[in-house]
Amino acid sequence: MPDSSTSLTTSNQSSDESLALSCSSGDNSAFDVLFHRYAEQVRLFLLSKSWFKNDDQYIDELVEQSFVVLWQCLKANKFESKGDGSFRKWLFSICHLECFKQDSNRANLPKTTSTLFPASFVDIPVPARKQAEPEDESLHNEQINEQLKEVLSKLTPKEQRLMQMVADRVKYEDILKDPEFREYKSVDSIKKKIYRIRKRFNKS
Amino acid sequence: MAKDKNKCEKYELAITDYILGEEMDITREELLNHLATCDNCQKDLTNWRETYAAMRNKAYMEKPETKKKYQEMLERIKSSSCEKVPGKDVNINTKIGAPAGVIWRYLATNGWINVDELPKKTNLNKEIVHEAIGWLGKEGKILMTEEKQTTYVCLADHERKNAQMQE
Repeated sequence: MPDSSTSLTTSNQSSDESLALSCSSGDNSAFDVLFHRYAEQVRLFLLSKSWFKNDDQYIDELVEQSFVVLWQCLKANKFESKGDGSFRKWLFSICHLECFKQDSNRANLPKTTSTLFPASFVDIPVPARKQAEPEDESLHNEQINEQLKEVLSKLTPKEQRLMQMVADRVKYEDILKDPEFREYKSVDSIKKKIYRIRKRFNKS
Repeated sequence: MAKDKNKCEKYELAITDYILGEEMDITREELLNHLATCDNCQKDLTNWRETYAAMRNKAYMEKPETKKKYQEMLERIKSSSCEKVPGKDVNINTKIGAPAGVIWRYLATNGWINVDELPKKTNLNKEIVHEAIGWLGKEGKILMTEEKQTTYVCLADHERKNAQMQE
């Protein structure tokens, strides 16, 4: 029996497809590697897709449900490797379907395959990007993540802290109360600061 | 051109607020009307929506409590049973919990009883009675004895007291 730490190291360097096949043939540690490799990306994908994007707990439930389906499909030998990238494509298709199914359930909507946005959940619509394949969307999200890292690294520590608060959904009013930001005298000045920072994201 | 830029700044500030869930200085209708005619602001909304989602996700995933939560999630996923059998999902509370309540109420006014008699006494089918007995047993609400392959159940003392208090 191989040493588990060696096996995990090997697994960490393995391709998604070989890990998926290993998991199907009984190596559960391969699933651990896939989970840790994809959990964050899957969450971002679901966060972007779901109609309930403001509910963190619900998004976590979607992540869990998507991975449960993945686990069950792998254990039922349903994954067929069709070369590099085939696992990723398959995984995000699962997430896409689970998101639609769970959102429809939660919103009490009939389960149809229609991808139309239900009228009761009309967010401000933006037709800027055409409907993309789930896999392409996940790759697009990865690019955004990379840009985000780059821009954040160029911010001053104080600006980073401000954006951290924004990401943690701290309200303008509460940011104002933080002693570190006492130079901002009003909600308006905080708002403009965030606006100027976010324009840097657009430029990157 | 500069005039257009200034005009858009008002909407871009509103877009910032909108995505952050803050109150906007303009109405939603005003923003929608502008978006319908301004490609740049549409792009700005898309970009900010995507960037903010990525920021939120990154911040959330880096929290120690999230890491712990996801480790526990992984364990739950791996302990989930394999492939789901096709069919309608069953609400366990309705299917077993409610009949368990019926049996509990029956036992509250009666003493020891042969489990095989419960279907007739409660108008529940035999299979449901056995599932409900399992439910009550797991919750420590009943006592159970066996004699010559016959099982008897009775409400536990503390439950009987609860029942009397409810009366």
